[in-house]
Amino acid sequence: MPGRKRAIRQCLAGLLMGCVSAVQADSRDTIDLVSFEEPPYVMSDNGGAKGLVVEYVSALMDRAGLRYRLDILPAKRALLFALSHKNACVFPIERSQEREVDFHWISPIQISRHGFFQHPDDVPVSLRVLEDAKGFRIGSYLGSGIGAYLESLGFEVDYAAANSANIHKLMARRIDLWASDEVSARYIAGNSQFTLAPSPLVFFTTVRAIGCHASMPTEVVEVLNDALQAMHRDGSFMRIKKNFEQRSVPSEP
Amino acid sequence: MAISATSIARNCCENVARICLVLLLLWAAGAGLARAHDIQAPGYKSAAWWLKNEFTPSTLTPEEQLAELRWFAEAAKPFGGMHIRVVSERIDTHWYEASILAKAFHDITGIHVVHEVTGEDDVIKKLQSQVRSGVNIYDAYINDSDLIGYHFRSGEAIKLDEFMRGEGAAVTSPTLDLQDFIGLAFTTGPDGHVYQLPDQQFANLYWYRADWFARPDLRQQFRALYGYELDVPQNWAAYEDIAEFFSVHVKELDGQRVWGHMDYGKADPSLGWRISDAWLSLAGAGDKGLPNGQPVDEWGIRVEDCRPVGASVARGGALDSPASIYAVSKYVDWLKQYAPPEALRMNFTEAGNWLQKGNIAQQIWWYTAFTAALTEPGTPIMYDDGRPRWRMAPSPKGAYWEEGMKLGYQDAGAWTFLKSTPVERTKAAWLYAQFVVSKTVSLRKTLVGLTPVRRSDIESDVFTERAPYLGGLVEFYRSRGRELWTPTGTNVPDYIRLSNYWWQWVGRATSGELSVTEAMRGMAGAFDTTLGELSERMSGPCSPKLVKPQKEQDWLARPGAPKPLLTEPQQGRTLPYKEAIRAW
Repeated sequence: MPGRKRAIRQCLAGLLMGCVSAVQADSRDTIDLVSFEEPPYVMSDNGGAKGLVVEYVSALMDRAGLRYRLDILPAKRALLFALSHKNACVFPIERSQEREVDFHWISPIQISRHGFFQHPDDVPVSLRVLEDAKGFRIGSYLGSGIGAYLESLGFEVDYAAANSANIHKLMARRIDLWASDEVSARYIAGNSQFTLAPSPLVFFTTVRAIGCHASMPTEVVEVLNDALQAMHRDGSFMRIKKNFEQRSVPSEP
Repeated sequence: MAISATSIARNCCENVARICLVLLLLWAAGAGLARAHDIQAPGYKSAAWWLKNEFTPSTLTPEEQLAELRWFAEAAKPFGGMHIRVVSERIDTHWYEASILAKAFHDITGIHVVHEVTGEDDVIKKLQSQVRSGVNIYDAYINDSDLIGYHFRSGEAIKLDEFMRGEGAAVTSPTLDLQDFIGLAFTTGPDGHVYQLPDQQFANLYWYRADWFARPDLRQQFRALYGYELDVPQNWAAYEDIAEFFSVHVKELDGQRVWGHMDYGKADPSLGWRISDAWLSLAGAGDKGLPNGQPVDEWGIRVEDCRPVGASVARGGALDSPASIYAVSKYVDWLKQYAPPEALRMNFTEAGNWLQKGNIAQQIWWYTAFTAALTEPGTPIMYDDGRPRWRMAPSPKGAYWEEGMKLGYQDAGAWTFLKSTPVERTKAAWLYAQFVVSKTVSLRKTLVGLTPVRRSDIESDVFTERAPYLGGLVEFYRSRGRELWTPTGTNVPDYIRLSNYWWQWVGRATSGELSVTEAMRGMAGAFDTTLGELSERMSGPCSPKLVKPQKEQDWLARPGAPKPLLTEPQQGRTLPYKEAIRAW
């Protein structure tokens, strides 16, 4: 009977979670989480970190009963750290076919919509499909999956060290279009006292995820994915998001 | 300024003429089809413009096309101004849809579609994310019909036959003509419901350089070495001989290093479907019976009735059987011995375009989705008159293959709608899905991407005229081969989870980390474990249910798959092209 199966399964999941916690406490280091500045999802805060995705991940680790440390690094370094350190995970990175083999994945932690943004003084460009953006110089940042995606399609991509630098490149007309997560772009522009027009084209969606070192035990990954799914389904993420947005994110003009 | 009576009369005549011209244009555009923004906004074009400049040729008359577009414009009125989002894999057909057809649809209906194009694995991981989170990530997915086993078991996908009769009736085109789709059987579950609408199809076929195979000097040299004719290989022994012949004995043609085999080996999701699509089925690892082998399919999964019960030999499956180990051993050995060294680090996309370089003699199975790229003029594999120097033919079979077994793989990318998408968004996306496969646009799309889905396009005169320039594609799609070459079947209950194991385990064999036997044993164990987990998560009469393991020898002694080790070597056998394609 499905009901009985479910009960047994929940019981086993509870036991497994207990085992995983015990394994963590007994023989493994605390999980090393690394992230990178991507306001408003992740921001440094007096030696610590804050932001919407930081709140998601913190709630997830609590739900899974796992201990962790969190450091903020430059995006590229954060990626390399998780690739090369056992028991390390990086977030919120774009999950893609090209990266699939590199990590164990806990996803989706966040769905990002990526759009093009232009200089506020420019006449709005007509972009209806991605192909229309060919011929423009596009700004992205090192370590960005979206920059790599556009480059693989033959677009001219100009990389900055961090996404926050792109608003200044756009204002200085060093790039024609800034390709960015919509929420990040509005937040970064607002913090720099600029107002962006709505994106002429939101061209791509990425599933943001926690990518863990390939040696991370499968049981830990499964516990985290099960907890994540439960939090999506019971509305926990929605509540965290609502609460966060009420506190901080500037709205679209 | 004085205005004379003559000038008033002239102005009046001119105005009447202008009004007549506008009325004429409106009539030509289908009595009101040209929406307000078509005329006002620069860059937007009318239905009449699209018919004249893009949607030709078509199997419909211009009047029928106009009537079909008029229906789309009317049906879309409640959704005008809506933005919807769909996703598909990265092949020529979908680029055409994303760049051209999405614009045309916007002009004609006012619905703005963002049609994202990405890797196939990315598509299915996004679909999985929407299922897991319940978040409406996309309004529709073009995902391979390989997932049919998941769709009919999971309860997450909309049953399109019910939708078309029910809440989608008003947005279902009267000219859709479902029976015209050649791949509808692939997207129909064992319960008789249609879960997906085919958008593009391509097959896995043998590919070879017909010009090289016809050279008298090479034919003579081959006959002297191997004792039979250099023609289309009918079995793996002949394929191996030809691979060795070009890579080891011929080595150079016209001053260029040439190779007798091409494949790819990068540990990447695309390696997984390279192996699961065809290596085991063509080796003969499964059972007889179309479309996928019964009771053991081409993934080595045994089913009882419709329940998957195990993949390891111990549970009656064939994933770690001698035939599967033989299949993957040949894949690894040939990749290392006969393919260009770079192939070991390539993926699906990189290897697909490699043939254009003109230094590969044959490929055991090649995706016809690359036909458009491989018929580009001016490359070393094309004659100056636009005909290809290559041909496609049925793939050779391995030592365990028997008459009545699956002949090859076919990919059917198909529109899939999830129940977690709000219904109004599903309706708008359903309109777009029907538009990109409508008879108005379908033939033109087929000529661009060469991935046909409609019988009417395949039987058209235009396709006949193109036949000499497409290397055998038209002949294949006009034959019964289009039904005999089949996608992954309904035995695979969760393609997204299970498909990961293929590249993860075979990748370890390719890299040398594990022997092929160790890798296949490990993979079969992982399959059984996952089938066991799925039996807890899924319910219904076709949910997985593991059987208890038995002695392997007991299973191997029974007729059919899993089959015992064959020790008799295969003798190479080839056939001239015209005889070889009779299998179609």
